[in-house]
Amino acid sequence: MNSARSIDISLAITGAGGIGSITVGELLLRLAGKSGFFGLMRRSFGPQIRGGEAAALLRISDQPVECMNDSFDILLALDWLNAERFAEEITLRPDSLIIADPSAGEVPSVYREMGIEILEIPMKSLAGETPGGRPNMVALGLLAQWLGYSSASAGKLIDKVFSAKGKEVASGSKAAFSKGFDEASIAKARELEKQPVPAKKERQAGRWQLSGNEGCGLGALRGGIRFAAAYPITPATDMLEWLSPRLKKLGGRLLQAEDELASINMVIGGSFGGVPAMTATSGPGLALMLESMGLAVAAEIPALVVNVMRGGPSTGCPTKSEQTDLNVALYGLHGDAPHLVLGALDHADCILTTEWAVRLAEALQTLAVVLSDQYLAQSRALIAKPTYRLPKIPARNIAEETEGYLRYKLTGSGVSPMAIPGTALNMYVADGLEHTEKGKPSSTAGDHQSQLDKRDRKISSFDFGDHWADIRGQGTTAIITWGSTSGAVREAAGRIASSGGAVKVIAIRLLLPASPAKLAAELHGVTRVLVVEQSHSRQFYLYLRTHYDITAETRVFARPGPLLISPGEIVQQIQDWS
Amino acid sequence: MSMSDKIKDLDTFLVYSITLEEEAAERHDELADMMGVHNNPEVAATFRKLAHYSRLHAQEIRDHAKGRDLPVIAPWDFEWEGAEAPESGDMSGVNYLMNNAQALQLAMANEQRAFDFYDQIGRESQVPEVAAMAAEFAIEEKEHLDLLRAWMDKTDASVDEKHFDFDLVKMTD
Amino acid sequence: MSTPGDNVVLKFKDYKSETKPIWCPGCGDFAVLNAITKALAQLQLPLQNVALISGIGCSSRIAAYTSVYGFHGVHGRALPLATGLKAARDDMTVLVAGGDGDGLSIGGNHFIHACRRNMDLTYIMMDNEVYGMTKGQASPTTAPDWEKSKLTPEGTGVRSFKPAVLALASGASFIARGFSGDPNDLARMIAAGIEHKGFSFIQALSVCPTYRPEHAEWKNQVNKFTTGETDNPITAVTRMVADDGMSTGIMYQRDIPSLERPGNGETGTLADFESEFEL
Repeated sequence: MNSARSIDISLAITGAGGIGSITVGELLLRLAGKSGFFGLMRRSFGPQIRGGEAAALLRISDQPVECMNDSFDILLALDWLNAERFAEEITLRPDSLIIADPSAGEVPSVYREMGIEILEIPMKSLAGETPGGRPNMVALGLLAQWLGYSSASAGKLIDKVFSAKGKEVASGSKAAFSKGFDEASIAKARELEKQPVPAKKERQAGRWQLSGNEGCGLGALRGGIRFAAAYPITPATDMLEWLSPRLKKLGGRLLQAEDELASINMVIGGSFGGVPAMTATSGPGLALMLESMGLAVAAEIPALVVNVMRGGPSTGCPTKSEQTDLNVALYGLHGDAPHLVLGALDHADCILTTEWAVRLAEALQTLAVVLSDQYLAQSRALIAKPTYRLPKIPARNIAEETEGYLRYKLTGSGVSPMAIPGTALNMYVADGLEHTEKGKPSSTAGDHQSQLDKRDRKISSFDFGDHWADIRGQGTTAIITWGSTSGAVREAAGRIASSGGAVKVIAIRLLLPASPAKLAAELHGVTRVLVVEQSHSRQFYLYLRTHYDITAETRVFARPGPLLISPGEIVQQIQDWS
Repeated sequence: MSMSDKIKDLDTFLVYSITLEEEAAERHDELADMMGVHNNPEVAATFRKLAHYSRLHAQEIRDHAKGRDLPVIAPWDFEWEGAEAPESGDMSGVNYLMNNAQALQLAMANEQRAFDFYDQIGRESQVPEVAAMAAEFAIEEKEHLDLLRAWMDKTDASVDEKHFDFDLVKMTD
Repeated sequence: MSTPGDNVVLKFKDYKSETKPIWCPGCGDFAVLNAITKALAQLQLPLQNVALISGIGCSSRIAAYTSVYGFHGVHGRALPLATGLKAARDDMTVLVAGGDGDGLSIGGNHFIHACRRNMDLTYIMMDNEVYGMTKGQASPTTAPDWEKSKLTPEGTGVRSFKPAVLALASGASFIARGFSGDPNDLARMIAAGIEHKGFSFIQALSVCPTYRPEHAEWKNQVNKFTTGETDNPITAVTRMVADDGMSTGIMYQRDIPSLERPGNGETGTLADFESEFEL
């Protein structure tokens, strides 16, 4: 346990068939928020559309959390139906606690063999004592008591959430909650716990609760996106569903396209028309879009593609997280097609990275791909209200009426003023074909070279500033990572620091263009580099080898999904390297 | 035309009866599997039992039919009253949240249709051997119905009442 | 598993695998699975001679629930996969299955070309007028005013396809529509489609109890085509355009001979081709 935190508790609530484990998790997260805590909740499901196995996995702390912990302190099982599905995700320790309903049957052998303490509470029969009472509400009461939340705020929340379901459900839920909240055996078990958990009375102002998908959506809107075209795909669909009504409210719109090929072309069309545009997808969709992503690059049309990574290759593991679309985002475009690739590092960073990507795409008239992943996208976090300051980035350079307008004029910066349809005199034909400055098709050596130089120069000569990476700490050992593994890496570094060590964390946010000089400067004095990534083929490590000079001794900790890399495992990697 | 008019000989009646029972067994097993996969083990067990009874009855009828050269009738050439065999039709009440009482109600509706099928033929068939056998089968179906009714009486409809899916509560916050 | 050669008759259950479907209880796809397996059992096709190719979606899971050869491919591309198999292995009976989103949205282009190509395939589109697997978006067969999708909360505002008309206009030679509430009749149409030499398209209206609970009304709205099948495209299209989309039956069937010309019988060897380079 990280001793910098006085409160750090990880809970898993499992159940099946619509029994309501997810609802318990969601309510607990909200109660944590109202009680002044930070936290994280992810969910895991069976393949059924409804009524499958469902697990709510939470971490609640008095300090911000950016990753799940190594193991769970409490597993509350509403039932044991198909519980083996979650066994490898819900790691328990011998000193963890299991709360189970004796009427649900025997605790699975995998947990019994560990000798874990089992607190038997008849949640089903307690719920049955009040009309409209449900076992999951009893469970909520038990856990709220454990965590020291106020039953008054819980009661208010239950009323609000269940009001639509009718009076009996709401009052039954509150009554069942009270049964759990007043259950004596919990108080007793807490006394025996090494870390009792008092709740904060004061509410910390200015905290947010959001998912990574919502964060990307907000970042896009902040950056100025007003048109989206997309096709449903797990796990990006809920970002689009969040955006759809909000775009409309801002005077924009979202079109549901017939497929990803259509989506990316609709985006390019909208942006050609002058409206900042985006799509969101996942690996299989990104792969489909590649040809037209190259069109955006060649025709110099700003475009944003948010790709929420999931297990690959091909159909892969659609509901699980992985960091294996890096290659396709970096190198998937045919031809020489310089463009931008960014990766969000945590929930709040989804907002920053996406906003930054939009502004950069608009300023540089190019394609920006933002990589997120299923874990970030679909988990909810309680975070400090995000405050960040992006450097000043020019808006899209829009051409005024110009006699003899040259759309692809060779400029020092490489960015040429872009005509927006409707502007007199500036009519031009955007083209994927190589072209002259005027925009007429050309395959001469001179034009191809100069336009390639232009498209390269506009990106390579741009000053991206300090946001290329998030760097924390100092040390002769550095951990380089990207995307959501940053959370676990930072926590690992924190634990190492608490025990007297020193590790520098470099989480790269801007992947393309690479920043070799900046990384070299950060690695000055670093003798050991550990690369951490969630992939099988070490995509990120090979990216580093390709674009950077790392002279320090390097090791790689790469593991594919579905299991998230935990801070403890990273600490172990560093310790094993002594 | 009633079923007793459509079924003109014993062999045809046997094929209809075997199909009725085997499709019922298949359907109840399908329902049991569905409910098992959707974590509704009580209802899965109920349907599994019903599949078992249908299977037993199908075997009994096959035993009656031993040595006979039964006609092969394509699934779509059966002239059932509804779209499907009497004991397999109507999936409209099926839901992953259904409780035992609802499952039994569904089963009873199916059994009732099966009973009506045999009963009508038993009373009105012009072919004596068909009428006799149908009447026998009607008695068996009636026993099933009684069994289900007794089962139903022991089942507390309010217990296990799933109301709605508690994992789908919208967080209005 | 047994084959007819063993003198054992295959029952429709033999064409199902041990894998228990994850479809929601009440899903119409169970009935479609029964219809397909009943059709195969009626035709007594050996398991190894049949392939079921599917795309991605709730419906496309069906490949895993059968015991014949199968391919669970990528979204929208079941028809080209099937085309490739049939072109390479004309001896196989090739069935294709998928949903309305898979087949008419991302797969739309492949659909019209498969109809035009008229290869001997049987395509069963399980039409539940929604994207189920991605949790409830409108599909190309969803009515324009369906407001339950969070992606298009005011409805798509876009007219839905008439799949039968699209199939006819694109050149399919067998077009039928069935309903999950009448799996025996659907089985009849599927068997007829398999036996038909050419591209057989069967639109199977399939109830989705989870995202389209109003489909419970379908059993009261579905009706059988009273005018019978025809091989006249004008008659067929006139009916189909006027149709409310809820009538079932074989709407169009025509024997359209293949346009592929038989080769002139010439053969050659690699050595022959290499000699072409000699000076």
